[in-house]
Amino acid sequence: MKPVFFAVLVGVLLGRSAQAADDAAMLEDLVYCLVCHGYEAQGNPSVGGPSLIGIEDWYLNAALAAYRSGSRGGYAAAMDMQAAARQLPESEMPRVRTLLSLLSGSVDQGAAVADAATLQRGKLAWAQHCASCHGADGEGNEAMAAPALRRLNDWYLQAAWQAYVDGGRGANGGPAAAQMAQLARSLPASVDIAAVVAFLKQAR
Amino acid sequence: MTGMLAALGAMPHSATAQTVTLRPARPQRKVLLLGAGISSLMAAFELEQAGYVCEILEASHRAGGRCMTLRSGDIVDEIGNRQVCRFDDDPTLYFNAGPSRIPHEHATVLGYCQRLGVPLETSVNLNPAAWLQFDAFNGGQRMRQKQYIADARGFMAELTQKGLDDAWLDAELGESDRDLLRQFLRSYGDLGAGDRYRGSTRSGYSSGGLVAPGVLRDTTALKDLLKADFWRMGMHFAESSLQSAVLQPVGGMDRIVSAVTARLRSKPRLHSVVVGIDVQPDGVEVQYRERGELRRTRADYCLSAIPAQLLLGVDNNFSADYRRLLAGRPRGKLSRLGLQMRERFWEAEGIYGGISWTGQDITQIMYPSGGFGGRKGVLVGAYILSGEINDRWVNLTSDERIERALQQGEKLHPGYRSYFESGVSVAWHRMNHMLGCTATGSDPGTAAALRAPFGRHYLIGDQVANYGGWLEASVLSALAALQDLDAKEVEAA
Ligand SMILES: Cc1cc2nc3c(=O)[nH]c(=O)nc-3n(C[C@H](O)[C@H](O)[C@H](O)COP(=O)(O)OP(=O)(O)OC[C@H]3O[C@@H](n4cnc5c(N)ncnc54)[C@H](O)[C@@H]3O)c2cc1C
Ligand code: HEC
Ligand code: HEC
Repeated sequence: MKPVFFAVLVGVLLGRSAQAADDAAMLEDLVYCLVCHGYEAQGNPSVGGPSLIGIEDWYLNAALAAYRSGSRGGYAAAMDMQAAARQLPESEMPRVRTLLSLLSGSVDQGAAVADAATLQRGKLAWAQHCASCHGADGEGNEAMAAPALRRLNDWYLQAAWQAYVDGGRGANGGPAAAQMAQLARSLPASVDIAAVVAFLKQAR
Repeated sequence: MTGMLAALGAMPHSATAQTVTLRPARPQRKVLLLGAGISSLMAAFELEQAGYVCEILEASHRAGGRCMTLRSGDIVDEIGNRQVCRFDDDPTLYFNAGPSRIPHEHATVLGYCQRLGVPLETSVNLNPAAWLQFDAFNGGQRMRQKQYIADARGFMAELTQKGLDDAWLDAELGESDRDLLRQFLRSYGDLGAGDRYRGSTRSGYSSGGLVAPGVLRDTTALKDLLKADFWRMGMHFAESSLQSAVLQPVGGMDRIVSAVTARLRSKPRLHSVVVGIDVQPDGVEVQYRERGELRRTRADYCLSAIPAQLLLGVDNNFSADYRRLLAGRPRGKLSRLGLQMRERFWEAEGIYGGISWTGQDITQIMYPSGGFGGRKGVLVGAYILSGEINDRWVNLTSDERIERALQQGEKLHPGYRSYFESGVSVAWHRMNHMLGCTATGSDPGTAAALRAPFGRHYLIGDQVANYGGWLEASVLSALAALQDLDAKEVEAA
């Protein structure tokens, strides 16, 4: 149980101001986002919806647009999200952002911690192959259309990587997605992605 | 306890009704029930009888979970495919989008139907007069199941008869039994002279029969019979618990839900999404959002029917092991589609209830087992079991699904589309607050570990049974939890 979460929502929603009533109504409508992404947007590994906590506005828009148009790809997880995105009118985007700002859970990462050698390997690989676009600590770079990665669940990072490698993601996407897919597919097999993920986990 | 757990493990072959006798509750003992599935509702019913205070929290706009019957005006909350059921406003025109059959062995559920006053009728599950249709068989033309079955059995009996080896017969059976076996095979296959199979009245006549002399149908060669995948599933599906007769509540499966809910003092709180579960030494605290507003409640015990795949998105203090088990539950996939037809044209074809099987994506057409001879009727126009087909089907809009169902139904019933009035479709793996359903059969170790309470929190529902996908499993899981809760209370008193 997270006391912060309580304080925010109880404060905002039980105040019973007009604003609070509106927020409650919005949460009621949009709560289906959280069915798949975790009820505090912390991520749900069984459904495959990643954490949305701290997601950048520009990337949220870009990702939803890609699902809506179908350009994210046709792999199973993307199709679950596509159904949700197509149900959400574009005019609702500001409300989605408010919804996410009302939640203050933290990304669900599981307990496993990597050993020092793995972390070091991950750090080096990150600096060499990823940092130029995603930032030194995985904080993201809008200018490169590269989202922050350190705010994401470890299982999702693995799955997203795999989707690029398998070709499900990036094939029909815009130039940004194509670039990332190209990179994932041409990376030497010796680069240990699990170690990169371990590095990102503690870069938060 | 042992009896109940054993029954859970042995599903679906437990034939005696399980009951639970709870000792009277101490004053103000409270139990929280999460998710108003059939397991929670039956548990609340028992608990209230014993004097417990219950509170049931349900995320969606309705109680019943997968036990869902659709009628005029009902909402289908499938993500990306929200629909309103547009059937005529007539209680006989209903569609069981989830469960539709109660096998005779599911004595606990049948027992509750009796106690709650839910009238039952037989559901014609197996109907040899219904069709089979497979593109690789019979030129893709439909055939009556009884014709296929008679030929298949006839040729199998003939083959066996031919292959019987005298030395083996003497050793195994001796002279008198050996003769009995030969007679058995003649009867089993309806063999004619020389123990050859040349067709059978069991296939139905091609003409005549009652007044004019009957003309036997031509047989279909054994090698052709093998081409119809009918023998993989449709031919034998009704030989375990799903045998004819199975039972159904008159008017729709959700009659069980309304009957038990009517008897509850505390009705399920709808639109109340559980978002946090904190298991404490002497109770369980739960946070939920009711129409968006965050609330908090607490009880001495908590029984949760929230599907494992969604429970992982609920903030919780379960152990890492317990969470790993939850994560290991697969998201089962099942789809059904209901079609209101302006005439019961299938009855003009001699089909009263039962199922036609096809190799097309719709897999089955199920005919209503009630309202015979009436005007309109609702068909189950698709009941898709295969994971692979379900992966494709779920990504169609409901209009596209209906269009395919009409197209494919045409091969079983020429003119099918012309009877169509309105349709509604449910893919359980995309339904809001479900996102999957328990698949039949699961790893017994995982199921048992999930059944064990986590402190005062019990996971219930068919998701913790060895043999999921049955109301009986859901209810038995709840009774097993109650028995354990009762024992804990005795210890504490
Ligand atoms: C297509 C189909 C056909 C079937 N056919 C048969 C049949 O013929 N015979 C038979 O006996 N059985 C059949 N079954 C199985 C039967 O439907 C189930 O075993 C039974 O209904 C499951 O009940 P339950 O209580 O275990 O859970 P569910 O019915 O799954 O209930 C779970 C509840 O939890 C709620 N919930 C989810 N998240 C939250 C949250 N965060 N907070 C609060 N509530 C939440 C859901 O809305 C739901 O109401 C069938 C199932 C399907 C899908
Ligand atoms: C049916 C389940 C489901 C629902 C409902 C759902 N999502 Fe998703 N969402 C997913 C899955 C699964 C993924 C991961 C898909 C992938 O791997 O491409 C995802 C991915 C996303 C992403 C991309 C994340 C990233 O890092 O690229 C965003 C943004 C998102 N969802 C936002 C939302 C919002 C906002 C809502 C509510 C309007 C919502 N989702 C509702 C299942 C769902
Ligand atoms: C050339 C720039 C570039 C480099 C180098 C790069 N990426 Fe990316 N990456 C992107 C872009 C752009 C996206 C967003 C693409 C999209 O929208 O599909 C992205 C997306 C991703 C995603 C999906 C994020 C999500 O929320 O779904 C992952 C995971 C990822 N990158 C991992 C890596 C890793 C690991 C490396 C290093 C091995 C790396 N990237 C190197 C540009 C880059």
